[in-house]
Amino acid sequence: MAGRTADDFDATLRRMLRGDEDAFRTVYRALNPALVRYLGALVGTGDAEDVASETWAQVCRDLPKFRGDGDGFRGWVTTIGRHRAMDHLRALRVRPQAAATEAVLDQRRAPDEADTEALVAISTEAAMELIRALPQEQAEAVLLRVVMGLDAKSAGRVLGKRPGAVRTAAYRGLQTLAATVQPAPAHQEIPAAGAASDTFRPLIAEEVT
Amino acid sequence: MSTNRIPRLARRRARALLDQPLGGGVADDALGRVLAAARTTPAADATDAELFAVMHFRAVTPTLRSTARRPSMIKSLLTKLVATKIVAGAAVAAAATGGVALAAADGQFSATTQLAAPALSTDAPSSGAAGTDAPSSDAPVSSTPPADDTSTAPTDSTSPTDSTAPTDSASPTDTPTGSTSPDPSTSPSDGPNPSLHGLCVAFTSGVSASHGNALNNPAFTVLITAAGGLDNVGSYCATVLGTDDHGDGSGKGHGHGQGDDNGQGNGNGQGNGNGHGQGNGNGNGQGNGNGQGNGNGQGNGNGNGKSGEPGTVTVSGGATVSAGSSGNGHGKGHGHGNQGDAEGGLSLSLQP
Repeated sequence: MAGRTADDFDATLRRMLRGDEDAFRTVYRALNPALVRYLGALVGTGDAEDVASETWAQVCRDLPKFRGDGDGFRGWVTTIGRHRAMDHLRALRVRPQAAATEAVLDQRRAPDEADTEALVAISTEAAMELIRALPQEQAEAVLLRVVMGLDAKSAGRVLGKRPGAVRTAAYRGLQTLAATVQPAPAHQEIPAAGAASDTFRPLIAEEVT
Repeated sequence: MSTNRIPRLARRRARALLDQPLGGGVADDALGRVLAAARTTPAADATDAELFAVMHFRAVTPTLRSTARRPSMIKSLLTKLVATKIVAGAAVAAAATGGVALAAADGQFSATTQLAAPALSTDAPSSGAAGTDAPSSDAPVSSTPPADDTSTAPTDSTSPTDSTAPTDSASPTDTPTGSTSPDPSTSPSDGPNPSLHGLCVAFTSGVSASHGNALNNPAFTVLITAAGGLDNVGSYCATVLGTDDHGDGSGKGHGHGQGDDNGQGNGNGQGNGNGHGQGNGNGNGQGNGNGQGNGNGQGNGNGNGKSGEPGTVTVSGGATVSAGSSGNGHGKGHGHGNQGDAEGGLSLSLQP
């Protein structure tokens, strides 16, 4: 996050921290969609919004204690969100992502118009499905870096890992993604690469031509 | 799949993709497009979830503002103490606003006010209802305009929590307790006062669910007064409700109670209604709270009605939601509580 947008966000954040409700709404709208997506990968899309709500509740409660800029805030919110997600999963006694993955796989098996739509544009949801389908460590690293917009250091702090570990995981995640959506040489069939390659083959074909 | 069958992703390319600023980025290949799609931020309208978050934000607004202006430890300590005391009122406040929602479901509101700011309606019938609740002094439905910004009544008047605090120095003029004189006189209609109607709805529902103790709720004081005594409430309400041939309403409410060492809480409800016909609804809810800095509960409800008697939905967690006096009503509510223990609290459960 750099440049004017970041400056604007920092300024809005400062107003929010002085108690400006409009600024809070702006910040909320800027972050919540990403937060919901990220949490959806952890707890399943069905519960993501609830966990996000709990996250905001705690964010607000602890807001007077927050010190930092926009990037710091993003990381802070993400950390709180992750904790809430873990609490949620503990309560459910479900392992992270299991539910989500199942749901995603089910959706993929269902025949739909994705074959034609993918030619035009890839929807956010489709992109999220692809990312969620990554091995969890990679998925989370990609989500933190790409969706939440954290740098490797902040993402590492959220995950309790070294930045280098996050970089590696994110890189591997991108490689796996690229393998899924980008063409193999000579456009050969990729054998049994998982359900994703079926749904998104049109995208691949488009890239080839 | 084996990676040697696909083009390797250059590290530098990967870094560029990962570091792309939010909302920006050129998606010049499939992978880039996937990532761009994943980071898209849709244009958002105010949602229930946002409202929920804003409620929580309002709860800390006073703290934020006071810290911003006077970073004095004493001041912020005071604020926290006040906040702690306030929570006690939260559950009651929620119940009281339930009355508001009921009252509102009488056809006096325009549906457009719904999302504006749940607890801070300026509508006359609403403040009238708040007046009826005045004995409990909570009335998060204050006269404060919703879109309050820092310039007006800087301290706290935007926060529902604070309006419950008589000790709040900043806005003596706005204190809802000032409006203790209930408003039957201000009612524009010559029929029964909207708030009385709403209270009757609540009363009728509550009684039929053998929760007669609902009358202990201070919100019913006005109703009892209007009926000329506790014993007359039943027949009074029968008259009030009998004359009603309108109703179509919806209500929404949010209530939150949170408790920790500091304790903060607030409750809000809003309703509006409009229409005609006789309706019927059902709903249920539970509420509890206590006077010790905890509001507690979870719930959500839905009311929907067709022909018959009025319906209400009460949702708790410090949230009371009432919907629809008759005709159709919809209510939605969320209540969340943390670390709360409910004791000696107010409990209101309304069922048709």
